[in-house]
Amino acid sequence: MKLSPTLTDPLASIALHCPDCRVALHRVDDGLHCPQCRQLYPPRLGVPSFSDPGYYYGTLPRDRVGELIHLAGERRLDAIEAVLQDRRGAKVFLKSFDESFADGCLLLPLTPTSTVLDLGCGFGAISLPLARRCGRVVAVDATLDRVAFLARRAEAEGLDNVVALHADGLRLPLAEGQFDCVIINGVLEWVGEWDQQSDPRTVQLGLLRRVRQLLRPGGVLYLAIENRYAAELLYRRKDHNKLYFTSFLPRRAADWLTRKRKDKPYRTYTYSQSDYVRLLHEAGYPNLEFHCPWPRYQDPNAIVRAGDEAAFDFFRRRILARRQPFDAAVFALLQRLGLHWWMAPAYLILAERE
Amino acid sequence: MTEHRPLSTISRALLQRIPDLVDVASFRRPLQVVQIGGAGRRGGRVHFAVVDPSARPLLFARLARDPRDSNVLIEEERLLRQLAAHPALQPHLAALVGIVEIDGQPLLLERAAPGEMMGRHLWMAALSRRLPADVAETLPILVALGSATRRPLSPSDFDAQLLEPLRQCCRTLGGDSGRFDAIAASLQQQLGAEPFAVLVHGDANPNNLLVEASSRRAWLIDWETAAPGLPLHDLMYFLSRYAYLGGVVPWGSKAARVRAFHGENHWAAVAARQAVRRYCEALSLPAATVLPLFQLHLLAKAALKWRTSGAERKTTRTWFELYRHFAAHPPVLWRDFAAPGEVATTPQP
Repeated sequence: MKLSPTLTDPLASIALHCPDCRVALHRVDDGLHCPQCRQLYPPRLGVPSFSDPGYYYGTLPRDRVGELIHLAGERRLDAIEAVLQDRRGAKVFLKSFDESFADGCLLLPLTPTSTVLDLGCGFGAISLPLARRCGRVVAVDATLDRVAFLARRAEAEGLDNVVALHADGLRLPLAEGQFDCVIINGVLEWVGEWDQQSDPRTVQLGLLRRVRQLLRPGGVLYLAIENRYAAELLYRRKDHNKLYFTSFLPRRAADWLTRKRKDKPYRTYTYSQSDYVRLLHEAGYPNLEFHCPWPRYQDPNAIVRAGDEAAFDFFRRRILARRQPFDAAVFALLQRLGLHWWMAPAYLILAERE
Repeated sequence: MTEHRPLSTISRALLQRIPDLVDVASFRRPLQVVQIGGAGRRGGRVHFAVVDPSARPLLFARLARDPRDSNVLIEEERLLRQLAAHPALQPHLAALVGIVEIDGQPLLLERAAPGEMMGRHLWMAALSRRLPADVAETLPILVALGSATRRPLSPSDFDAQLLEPLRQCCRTLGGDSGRFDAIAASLQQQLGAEPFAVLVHGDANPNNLLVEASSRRAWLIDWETAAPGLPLHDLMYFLSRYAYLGGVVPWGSKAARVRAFHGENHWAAVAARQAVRRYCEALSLPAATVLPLFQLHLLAKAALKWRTSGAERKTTRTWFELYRHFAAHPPVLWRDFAAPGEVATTPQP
């Protein structure tokens, strides 16, 4: 199978490297070829593929995603909602058509010529809105079906500046220094699961350092991630391991509890605001800016820059109080104690490579 | 954390540009910005509120999520300038600052109206009690809008410009076009030789109305969907929001929706009829047009959703199902509207 024709041109404009030897890949008739290790990377479902096609992550059953890829290929995007109505696991998928997912990206310094990497792009909730605002978007995901759907959706929406790649986040087939911006939205906390041998923080640090290499000097990393000490983890939301309170425990205690209750280690590390500062400084991002999205970073109703007290007051009284009165009361108390930024649900972090 | 060069672009640029655009001498500083997400759909808007140290909003800026929609904001600015020239409408519009271009993207900048959202009270228990007061504040704005923008059309233009798009929508979504033709014919017959169009706000719901508690002054905001349309549309839509939107009645239960508004809800029904009667008197609209205009406003809403979200989206379907239901079963509330009206028993706010 050949690369689908719409993907060939944008693909030529980004530099692809062999994920093992870091040597530029050659394009041959049946895919991409590494001249050093002689490895051939054939396209799968019309997408350049560098990873295990058997890997699948998602709430929708895999055969159903196949059906959606077919619908998107036929440019019947508006039929998708009707097909999935009331289906189990469809909510996450349908939400990916909600353009507010990408609202956080309005914080980014993007121009119509910027090149952006969306790491862990899923079905394209962020990649596609971004593609309308910048020069080129490279969308990478480890689940082949998701990237294949994204490629067809971009085609159906007439966006020819999206390059979809099927690749593992720890083995990215991309050359260094070519991105103005890298998006890591709801991915970093899961990175620990990808490499079971090392300490989760080490794996996360490794990814952040690798991303730093991919950025141009002055490029910006956009990191959207939960707060370890989010107030709502105390009364509403479960941690990533589907247990309550574990993020508040010391790591070893959380690990013991997760092994006991879920029969697996605790590897989905999130951090406090100051620990994110430490992690990102260590990874080589000296200039950081924190923003707090409410109620989640996925589809924020409001985004307030951490430290802007008047902005937070306005948000709490005018927006939060109307939509979530209980949360508004909790945050009124936390603000009085000076803890509101430390217990925000999540952070959008802009981190600049020096 | 250490002080550093700010990275986020739009809010920073906005704060830098404000002193050139607005007289900031009266503002307490420093100003800060909150980004507020609007509706999530494709082509939606993102809002930026500029607040002073006491958290009072001073300005609102609106940005199109999709840069290709930016011309909509520019057109809206032009429209708002035209509307502000009408003395009856001007007090009900937020003061316009204009279009600000940041990084090549236009933002529509307006001063914040001092009122609070009318829709904040829309919860089940307060609903019927709120309607008389809310409609009393809204009606003058809608009457002023209708009178100021009233434009006579020839019967053939009326059919081509206002009814044909609805007919097409009805045909595409699978309605009974025979019934549509009967409704349209009855409307045209009642309007006689002098049909007219008015500017329709398109989304005159209680969340787009701001009311100042002390002066009872009201502002209508968010004119993005404004377009020429049928008279009475905005008022009917405003009233409909009390009947079946805002999570007040579950979407699924049609019977409950109908009962809540079109039958047994006396407070709301009396106030609604009185408001419609006043609107008709102000625009010399025959009373017998009220039923067809009520039915067509549901179809017009479905047609708007059809254009912006597609035929198969849930919102389009829901409005279209409402149209189909009320086209087949004209509600008592509007069916006997031509009959002598009831005594005005609406409590004053």
